This record gives sequence, C-alpha cells and structure tokens, in this order.
Amino acid sequence: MNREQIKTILGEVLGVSAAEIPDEASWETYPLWTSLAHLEFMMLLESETQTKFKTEELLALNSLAAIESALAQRA
Amino acid sequence: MTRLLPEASELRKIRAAGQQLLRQTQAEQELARTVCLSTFNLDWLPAFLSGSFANRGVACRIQAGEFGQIASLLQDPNSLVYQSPVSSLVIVTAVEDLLQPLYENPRMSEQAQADLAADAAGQLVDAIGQYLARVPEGDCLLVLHPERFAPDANVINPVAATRGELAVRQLEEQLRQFAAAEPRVHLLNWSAALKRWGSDAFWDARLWYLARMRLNDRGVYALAETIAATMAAARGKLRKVAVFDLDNTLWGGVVGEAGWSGIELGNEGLGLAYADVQRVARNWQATGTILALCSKNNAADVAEVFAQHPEMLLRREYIAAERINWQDKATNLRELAEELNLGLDSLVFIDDNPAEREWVRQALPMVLVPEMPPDVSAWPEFLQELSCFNRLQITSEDAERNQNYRAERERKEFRKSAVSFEDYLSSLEQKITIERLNEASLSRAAQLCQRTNQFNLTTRRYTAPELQKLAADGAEVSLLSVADRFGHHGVTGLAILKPAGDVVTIDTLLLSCRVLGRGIETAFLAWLAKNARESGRHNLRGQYIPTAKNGQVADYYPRHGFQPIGENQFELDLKSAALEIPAYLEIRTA
Repeated sequence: MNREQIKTILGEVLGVSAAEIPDEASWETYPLWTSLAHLEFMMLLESETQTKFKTEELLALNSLAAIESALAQRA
Repeated sequence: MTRLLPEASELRKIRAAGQQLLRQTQAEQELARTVCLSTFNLDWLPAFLSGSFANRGVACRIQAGEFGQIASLLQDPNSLVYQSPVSSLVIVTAVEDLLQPLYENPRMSEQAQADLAADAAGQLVDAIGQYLARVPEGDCLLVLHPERFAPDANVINPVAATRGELAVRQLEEQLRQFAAAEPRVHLLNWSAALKRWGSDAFWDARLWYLARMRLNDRGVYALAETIAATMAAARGKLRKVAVFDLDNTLWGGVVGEAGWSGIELGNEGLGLAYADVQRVARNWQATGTILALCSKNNAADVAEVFAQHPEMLLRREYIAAERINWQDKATNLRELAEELNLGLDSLVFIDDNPAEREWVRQALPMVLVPEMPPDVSAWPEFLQELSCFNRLQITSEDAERNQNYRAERERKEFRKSAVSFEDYLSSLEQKITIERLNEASLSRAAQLCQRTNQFNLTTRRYTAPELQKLAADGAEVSLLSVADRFGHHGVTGLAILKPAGDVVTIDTLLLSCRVLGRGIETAFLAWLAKNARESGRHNLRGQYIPTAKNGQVADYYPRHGFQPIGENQFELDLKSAALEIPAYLEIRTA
C-alpha cells in the first residue's frame, strides 16, 4: 500500500480529503489525528491489508512514513 | 435491515456513510436527539448508529457522553442529556464495569455479592429514574453487555458462589425487573446477538488496553444495528406485509411442472428448509404481519398445493391477499397494496428470483426487497433476522390482524350482493365503541399514532409516554373500536381533543384504513362534536397538516361543515352544526 492509499484511508477516518493531509503528517503533528481516530485508522488499515499489528506497533506507527514502511516490510 | 454481519470492505463503507450522516445531522439543531451513555468507550457507536437509524427511517441527531459518567450526566440538569430538544437515551453498561469490585476481589462472600449487585443495579436505576422524571416524554434503551468471563473463571462450577456468577445473574435480574415495570425503559436483547456470533468475534484486547473499548468495529456495528432495530420497533417503524413468491420460495420446484405432489416440502433435506421458511412466515402472521402471495403461476395449481399437500404449514386462510397470475410482479404488488389499503412502503417482497427482485426494486423502490442468500438453507435464519417486522410487544390487534383482513374480504364479497351501498352499510350492523385512553389501550394508541398515515389529519407521532402526559395534562384521548356482523376490527381510531374555555381543538384525529368508507369517519367527528356541545363548548376547531400520504383528508373538515379560519385551520360552530351520526351506525361509550 502506497502513501496515497494510506492517506485516503486516514482522510476517510478524519473526514478530510487525502490531498489535505501533508506527507509528513503524524499523530502528534496533525490536530485531527486523535488517539481514537488513530485506532480507527489502524483497524481499517489492518482489514484492508489483511494484517494485524501488535499493541506496541499500534502505538509506534504514528506517522504516515512509519506506517508506509511497516506495511512495505510486511508485503 | 438484517443482522448478518458485513465483510470488512462493506463495513468500511457503512462506517464512512454513517460518519458523513453524523456530520450532516449535527447541524440540524431541531432534529430529535438520541444521547448515548456508556460505562466503556463507545466513541465509534454514533457513526454506525446514524446509518442504522437512517436505514430504518428514524431521523435523529446522535450525541455521546463521556464514557464512565452515566450517573453524573443523568444527575446534572445542565448536561447534554437535558439539552433541547428532548432526547431519547441509550445506556450501554458492561457487567464487568458495574461489578468492578467483584472482578478485583472475586473472593467476596455470597452476601457481599448480593449487596454489590443490588447496589450497582440500584445506582443505575436511580440515575435512569432521574432522567424519566425530568423528561416525561423520553424513553431509555438499556443495554447490559454480558461478561466475557465470570469474576473467578478458575472456579468452573457455574453455581459455586466462589465463581462470582451469582452476583452477575442477580444484577441481570434486577435490571430485567426494572425494565419490565417501567414501560419507558426497553431492555436490549444484546445477549442473544452475542450468543449468535460469539463474544470473541467482537473483542479485540488491544482496543481494550489502548482505549477501554469492549467492542471492535464489527461489534459496534452489530450493537448499532440491534439498538436501531429496537428503537425502530419502539417507534412503530415496521413493515406490515410480507409478500411471498411461491415456486422455489415457499416450496422447492415449480408446481406447474411437478404438480402438488412433486414439490419439495417436508421434514427432510431441502424440503425441511422450505418448511422452515413457511414456519417463519406463520410466526410473522401470528404476531400481526399480514401475509400475501405474488406468484407467476396457474391459480388452480396453487390451490391444489394448499388443499392437498400434507406438509403445507401455511394455510390459505392465513393469506390476506394474493395475486397468482402472469402479470408482472410490480403491477401485482401495486394491486396488493391497493387491495390491502396500505402504502407500498408497507410491503416486503420475498422472491428467490434475482431478476424479479431487481425489477421490483427498480419499479417500486418503496418496497423492501431483501437480497436472499443464494442457498435456501440459509433462508430461514435470514428471514428470522429481518428486523423490519420486529415488535416490542404484541397487542391483541396484532394477533387478530390477519383475521380482520380475511373478514374484510368476506365483507367485499357481501357488498357485491347488496342492492345499494346504503343497504350494504345498514346490513353490516356496525357497532362503534368509544372509550377514554387507559393503561390497557396505551400501547395500541401509541401504535396507531406511529403507524397511521393516510387518514391522519395532523400525523403527530405520539409515543406511549407522550400520550400519558397529554392525558395527564387534561387532553381528552378517545379510542374508537368497530365491530360488525363479520367480526371485530379492534381499536382503529383515535382522537385527542384539547379543551380551552369555549373552544375544543382537535389535536389528532386518525382512523385505520380498514374502517374507511363506511360512515365511521363522519360518525366519529359527529360524536366528538356532540360530546363537546354537551360539555358546554361553543366551537370545535380542527387542523389539517398535509403530508405526502394524507391527501385524502385535505377536505375532511370543510366536508363536514367546518369553516376555514386560517391556512388549513377550520372551525365548527357547535350551536348551528348539522353534523349527525349516520342512522346505520350505533355508538356506545365505554
């Protein structure tokens, strides 16, 4: 899954278009990306990619870059 | 529509649509509100609930309180629960949260467990009681999310006090008793849903540890569906007629080819699956759903099946109306709706043929057409889980509905033989009984308010608590029932009158379609006018609020001598009014 596809899912959760989300967005820096939105986002990513993250990964994967990289490693 | 769980991709679409709807409705300040309170994190519920409500025609704005704050939010008169407009309440509790001390210390004595259960239930009941007292027209849906494990699951004897389950059962029982005694509190049948899918399907330990969520997204969706189905039933948002195809739907095979003895129906194999479909239909019929048939077939072949086949569970007399012919099914469904005097949005069409289903969906989008599973073995459960026929309880009118429609068919036959319409009306020997609202008739009165569309002057959708409040505030709530030589129609009319000085205003006046065209609409109004005159009033006022469905009563008041006094407002001078009860009708006041 590439960065744009990831942004599309995040945008769906946050109620914004993917284009509005900056590439460097992270849980800490992007205000709409709350902890609950993060969990919802990660659950959607899991079902879309047929993968399952450990609890610590759910917390650690807190930026688009980290998520893209983790998904690439699992692909 | 159904409780079958969607796949992940479908769930994603449902959630996205629900979120969009949630955002839209938040801006609609005048929309009725539903406030969700919970003991654990249910932040995902409003989005799913928005969609589930919308699919059932329940319009409302959903808001959620901070989890774990049920008592304080219900006690605080300034909390979001008590903002305007008035809200319905959904309270979701978990056994583990209510009995937390027991889960922390499962070695409690039996007495301490009983005390804890009584205390937990008591606190919740008191908090809900505050809401019920402050919001007289509100209702509350209470959910007890079952425990995943007993307080001490290592003790495997389920009746051992040391296992801690006694407290759990006592808590459940006390909440059940509360809901049974309080008509404005509905207990959600959530345990049954969890049993069906298994609690593991809805549990994700990661979500619990990271966010105090006891349900994953599928669980929240299932909970939203169950809540919405119950709320819809409480508000009378249900379909009234199940219209069945026959070949490969109520039995296997084509009767026109195989003959009545060659169809699949019985106690074995697929024949049993079809028998179970008939069993579901028979249960629907027994609880007030009208059954009808719509099939491309030769009527004589079908008659033989009903008359000869020993395994037919559905009898001909269970069927209120039928179209067995070679016309297209959309035309037949239109005719059936007309014959039953119901809107097309009352119908559910059940047919094995995807092409027929698609045609009806396109031609008649108001008809609900469930997408049947490809394998008939799945049909009985699928149909059983259609929530569109759900009722919170069954009134005597529900139980007698099919019998009433059958009697109506006999009336129509009788009418054909009458010399004139007047003769016919006289020979019907109609007797009307009018009585004031009481405890026994309350749920039927609310049902009439919720469901009557066509002969309904103002279409005010009062709930049972609202009707009780109106009566307590001085409104005169009268219920009309009709009987004739063919049987009882039951309670089929309702009027709410609000007296003020010399004037009485008709707030609500409605009649069920099945008693229309027989002078009852005139008799009811004449009786109301006579009653008002005898109580010393001078004027009777009425209002007509147009809707998409009540066009037939647009001229009801002018037709009965009322004079216009404003837009859709009318008044009758009771001193000079010549409104009379037709001679062929007898009215009795109970």
